[in-house]
Amino acid sequence: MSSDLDVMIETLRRCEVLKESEVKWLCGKAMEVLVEESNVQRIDSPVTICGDIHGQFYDLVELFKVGGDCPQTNYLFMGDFVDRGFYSVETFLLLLALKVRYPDRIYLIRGNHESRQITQVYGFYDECLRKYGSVNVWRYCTDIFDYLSLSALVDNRILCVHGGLSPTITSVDQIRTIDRKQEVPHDGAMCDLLWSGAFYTLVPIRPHPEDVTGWGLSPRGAGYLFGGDVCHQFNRTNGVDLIARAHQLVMEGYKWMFDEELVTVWSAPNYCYRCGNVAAILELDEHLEKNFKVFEAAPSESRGVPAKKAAPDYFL
Amino acid sequence: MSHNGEFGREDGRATARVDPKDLKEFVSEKYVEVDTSADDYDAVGLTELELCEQYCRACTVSVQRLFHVKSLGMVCTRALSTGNEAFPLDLVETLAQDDDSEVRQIVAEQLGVFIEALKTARREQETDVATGLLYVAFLLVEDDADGVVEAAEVAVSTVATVLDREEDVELLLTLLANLAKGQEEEIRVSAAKICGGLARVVGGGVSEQTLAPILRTIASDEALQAREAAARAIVKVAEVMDDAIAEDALLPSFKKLAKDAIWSVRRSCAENLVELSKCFSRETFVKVAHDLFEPLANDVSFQVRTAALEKLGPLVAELGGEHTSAALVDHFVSMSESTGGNNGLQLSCAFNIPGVAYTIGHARWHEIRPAYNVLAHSVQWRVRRSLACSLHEMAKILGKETTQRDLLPIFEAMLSDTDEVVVGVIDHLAEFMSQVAPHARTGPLYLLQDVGKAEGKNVIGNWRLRAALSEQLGALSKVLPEDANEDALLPLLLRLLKDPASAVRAKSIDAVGGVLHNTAKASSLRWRSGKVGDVVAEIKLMATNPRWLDRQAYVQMCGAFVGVVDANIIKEEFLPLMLMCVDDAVPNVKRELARSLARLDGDRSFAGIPDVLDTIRTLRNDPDVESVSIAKNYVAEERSNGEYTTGLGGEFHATGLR
Repeated sequence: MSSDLDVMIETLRRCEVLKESEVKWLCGKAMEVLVEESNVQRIDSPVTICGDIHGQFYDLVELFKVGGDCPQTNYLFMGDFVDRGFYSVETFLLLLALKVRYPDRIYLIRGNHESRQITQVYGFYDECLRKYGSVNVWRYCTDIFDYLSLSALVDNRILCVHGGLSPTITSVDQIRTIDRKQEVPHDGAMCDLLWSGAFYTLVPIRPHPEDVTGWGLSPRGAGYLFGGDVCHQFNRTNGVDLIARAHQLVMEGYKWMFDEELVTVWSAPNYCYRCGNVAAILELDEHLEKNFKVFEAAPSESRGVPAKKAAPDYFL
Repeated sequence: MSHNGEFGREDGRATARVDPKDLKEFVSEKYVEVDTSADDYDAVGLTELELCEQYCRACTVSVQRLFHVKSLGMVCTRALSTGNEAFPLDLVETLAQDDDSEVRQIVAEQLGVFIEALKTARREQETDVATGLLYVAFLLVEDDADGVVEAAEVAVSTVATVLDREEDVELLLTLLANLAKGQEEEIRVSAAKICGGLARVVGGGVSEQTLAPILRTIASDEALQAREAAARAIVKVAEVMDDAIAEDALLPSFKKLAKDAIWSVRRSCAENLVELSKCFSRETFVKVAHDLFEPLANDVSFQVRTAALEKLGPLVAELGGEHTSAALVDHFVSMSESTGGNNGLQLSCAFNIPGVAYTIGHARWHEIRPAYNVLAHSVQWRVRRSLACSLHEMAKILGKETTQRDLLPIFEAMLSDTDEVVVGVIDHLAEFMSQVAPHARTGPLYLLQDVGKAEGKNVIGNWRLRAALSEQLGALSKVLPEDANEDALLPLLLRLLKDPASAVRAKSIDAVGGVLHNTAKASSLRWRSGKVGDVVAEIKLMATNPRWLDRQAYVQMCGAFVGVVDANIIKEEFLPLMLMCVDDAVPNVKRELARSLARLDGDRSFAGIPDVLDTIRTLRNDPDVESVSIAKNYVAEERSNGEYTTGLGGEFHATGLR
């Protein structure tokens, strides 16, 4: 099995799609691995924490160049693997194949885009149709989405979740009791973990957004916005130092908030190939020392158009 | 969708500023409930081809249908090679008349695949289907959409490759002759293009009898686009004809086109000057090239002059040094001074200067040296980059003395240039240095310290440049004196070993052994004392560093030493600390240790060391080390080569796989 998988991983690393039958097989294996994981997956340091990828395959390759290949380096990806970019299929399947091959070296948790509803609007569904001519691959993948864990806890000190907190959740144990094996609901605890955001805007406003406290309505129509007091209270109750999350674009790649009790990590450089932002990953060493790595989008030469040779630099 | 179709920021750098409107759109992405659907036909009882045909004919979801139209070639290939199904000519004919131009273009592009499928199948029906596909190709040549026409023009030549019957070839040539007489000029342009493409397929005889007369007619066409196309096609048709016959049949037309009243026709000739070398005898080519080049290079039209000059480099290469007059070289040199227009000439001059230097040789370097200096100081970075990329080749052409005098100052300036230029030099750094006189090699080394340095905390910067530098250090250490390695290379390498980007560390890890070995060889004393000793001590500190990344790098380095560093040095200096990592708390360190031990295990110098065997045994039972299958594969391979192994590595297995 490992050699078949290694061949698939090599194929995907070249940004080539797998056969439909291979996707089916891979998703079957992935389900066996993921079903064992807890809603709050326990992870040991060292681990490198990554935010949204959104189908930007070549930028994921860039991320691995900066952070190290898996399994040399351990990874936690906090969701939103698909939609928006051109290579959601290759991106998600590469991460999934690595997960099956090295289950203890890479962890994937669910983002709000890992959903049947959302992928039909934001690109993954159409991409599957375009690349496979049928909805089967989309079905296999969205079925796997239901098995992805909802959060991770690094050394019991750092809680990682795609979106944020929920007014219905005050303890980590409450996350553990959710029945996660379903489509992302429109509301409730599971929805909030994937959809909520911290109070902030991209352009500083007055009063300073971090002064905003309590809970607020999310402009996205799902989940809530929460302030520093909510975050502080949650961390104190649960003995957690830090919440690491993704979900909201930050132009600098990462952003500390709420007296460094929350950090947003964003790993899709030049989001949607036009936002002009840099990306970041958060490396945690075995002492939980934090080290951010800020990187840019892969240069166009490395977005290889296969079969086409690069232009020569000189004539001899 | 094109890979390069991504919006803005083609160079991948954070230069673009965001339109706040865009940002708002992406940031406020909302929860939306939808339910779209795609066609899902029942595949039961249908062959793959039948199912594909159903989607091609009936599917209403555009992207889904396009997928199946694109698959048709592959599906036909499989169906024809394995089953008894007939080629779906009717389907192809229908799709060739589809309302969607994208569908028609895919059909045109796949005609070649269909032809290949037919060739492989080798069935009775082949010839009739081929005739059918020939009609489809000609139908699509007359399409409204440019993309369809272009693909169809190519397809005609491909279809022609399977026309065995004489009457089919006759049919092809008749259809082509009709095109050449077409009312619309676009059709006659297509006819010329098809002549060019067909020449190779139909060979010299038919080219002479049919294609050449058609081209002679189109060369006098009233439409300028047709005459342009004729100029391009003439060189292709003449190429497959007998030299002397081609000279009589087509050279007069080409010469006439080179003096055409319309500049774009003359440009077309200028662009194809070099190809003439393949068409005629050498004697004729040399004469024609000189006769035609001079007027084109002095043309009243800027476009024509530019086209001629841009081909001068390759033309010189074809002519050879003895036929390259000082006048031609003067023209070439003049390109370096071109500053008007779009500045493409300077770039073309820089691009071609190694080829010209090679052709005219070291003895005539003085003729182009001024141009080289002008280019090296061009304001365009692309020009400087091209020179940077070929600097090592120029050094080989010019020899050590001239390199030191004329190229070394340029080399030094380039190392402090913008990243795009620096990387061109760095990629062949060692090769270039080996062409410099030994005593002059150490001077510029201090400049390497700043290559690719990132600005700002946490920022990765241009890691590719630093990785390229690391990659050169091994080879560079071979051509530098030992004290230069100690003073410049080793400190640089130590810094690159701790680079923030993993890819740079990986290249540096690979380089360390070579640099140390080239500096200290197998002398234990040298490894333990002086500057090398200091560096070795610093590397050993990594084995016990509180940062796991350093410990992992240490064990990886030990593996990379195998076969590069003297085995006794590895055993004495590095092995004990390496084996200590078997108790590391971080699984990723132990995993890399297992991989490095596999490399040791494959080298007979390390056979039977008890501590190594113990460590391998321990790792084999370590649940953290999931992928020691790497060791297994490695050992198995070695064994099949008849190499000695401890035999223990072979028992490693993948315990981490569920």
